Amino acid sequence: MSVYGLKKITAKTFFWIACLLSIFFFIFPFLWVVLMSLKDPEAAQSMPPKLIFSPTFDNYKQVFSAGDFLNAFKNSTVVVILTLTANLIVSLPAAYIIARWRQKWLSFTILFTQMAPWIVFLLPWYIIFKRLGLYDTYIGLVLSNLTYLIPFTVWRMLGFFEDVPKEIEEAAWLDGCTHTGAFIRMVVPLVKGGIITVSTLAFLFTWNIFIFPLVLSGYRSKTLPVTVYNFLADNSLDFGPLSAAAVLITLPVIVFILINQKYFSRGIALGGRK
Amino acid sequence: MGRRDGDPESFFTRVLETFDRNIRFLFPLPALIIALALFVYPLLELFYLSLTRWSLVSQEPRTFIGLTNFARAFFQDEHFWRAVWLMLYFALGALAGQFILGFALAMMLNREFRGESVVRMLLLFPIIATPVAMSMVWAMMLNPMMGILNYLLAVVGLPPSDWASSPTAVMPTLIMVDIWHWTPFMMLVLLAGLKNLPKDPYEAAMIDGASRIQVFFKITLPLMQPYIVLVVILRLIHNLKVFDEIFVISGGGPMRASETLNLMIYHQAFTAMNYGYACALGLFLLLVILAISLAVFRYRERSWSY
Repeated sequence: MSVYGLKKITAKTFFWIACLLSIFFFIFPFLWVVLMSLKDPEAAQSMPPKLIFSPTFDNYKQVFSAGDFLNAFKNSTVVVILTLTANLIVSLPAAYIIARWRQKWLSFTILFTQMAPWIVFLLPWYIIFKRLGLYDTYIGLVLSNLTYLIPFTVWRMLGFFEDVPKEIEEAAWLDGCTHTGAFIRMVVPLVKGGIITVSTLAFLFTWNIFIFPLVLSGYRSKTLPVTVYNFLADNSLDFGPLSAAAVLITLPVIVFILINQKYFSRGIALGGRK
Repeated sequence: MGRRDGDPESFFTRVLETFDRNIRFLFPLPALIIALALFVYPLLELFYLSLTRWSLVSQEPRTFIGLTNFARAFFQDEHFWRAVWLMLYFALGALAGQFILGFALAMMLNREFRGESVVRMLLLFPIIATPVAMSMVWAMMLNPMMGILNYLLAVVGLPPSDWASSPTAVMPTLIMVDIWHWTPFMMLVLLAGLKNLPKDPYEAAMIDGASRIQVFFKITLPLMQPYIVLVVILRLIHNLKVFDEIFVISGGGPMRASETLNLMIYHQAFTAMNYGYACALGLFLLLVILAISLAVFRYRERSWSY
């Protein structure tokens, strides 16, 4: 009996050590960057690294006073809001119709757009956007985001729309409701869970995307990831301010996803439908 | 009836009615237009540009040079095949690491324990954090002089590494960062699969006295197959596209030792100003990915109806 108990305790200890070690591996860069962002230049450079130091917010002040940062924050926010709204307006009706008349070629198209290497499409986009005056504009960035998000959203929403019983619309039609009205007033509210899940993932994608704005935005519409990358390119050894910038850009996503954790986990749990 | 054609109200109502009768075609229209404008038309443009020589900035006209760009890539440019190899090396190396580590973690966490939700939440962090920011953090940690990783190596008594500054170490280093970045995703999907497995086969195996290794290979792996195929395909696709991490941490260097095909296309287009050549490389990459998608799609059709 006691041997059994001992074995159980050893197994449990082993489990917790392995658990903590792996968490440490995945969380370490986050701990490190938060500490770095609070250190003055001297503490940041000291080896061995100081764990105890008097924290300072100078790095954060420096990031904000760099000017670009606030502007980029505004650009990122505007692009996210416009992208998420446009995505729903375009994708939901399309997904609804496709859910009622399912097509096989559609799944291949969607699979391909998810696989497509962005850099390849950016080459012609860059030329076309410059020609049309869309280069370095919000609309250009929103359009580039939509190319990824529309297929993704349509794909994810199909299952949600299929679960809506046809009888609900038919009843609405009999009551004299138009098709469009039935869709907006009866169907859309029923797929609210899907809309939140998809929009959570769309937010993550739009906030984090780097390669589109890297190529398609210039001075005016530069978003946060590009701005932060420029910081690194300009002063790659200023660890303190760089860390502060990294914390500031990541914080909004982490907070947002943790609030919506339920929807996020559901969204990625099965890469396929629902 | 008093309805006249010029009556604005009835005209408006008629438009609405026509719209409503045809939502089957009108609802998907915006999505279709965007797809045509941003996928189909650009592909034609890409194809045309790949047959030209053009430097992007200059006012010089695009010179039509036929298939010269492709000949240059396949037969003259020494870096081209290396870039293809680096892309595959990165994708498969990272995939192997993510899969083995992710599966081990999923097996380990597939039980009830206190703090389960906290552990799961913490493991989400690498997936959701902005890739550019985290690549920057890694770039700092990997710094050979001031980075913490060499300090940690010294603490355990190992010699320092040049990490991303060394032509030989840069690829393993980038693969390590990608493994850090995406193993939690692999783990979450596999864990969801493990939690959904039926219990009966395990009970039967226990009664038969099967060893743990037997149970793993004879029961767990076969039952997990659909989840494994799904997540491996997802990761492979993603790993082939990785740009941010490599661009930020090594920029393709040193001495082009980590310049994967993605990075090569970017550099040829926007640094070396060989736009036509970059488009030819892009077209090649697109065909490769298209071939892989087709293969995956046919496999998926056979294995489970999606």
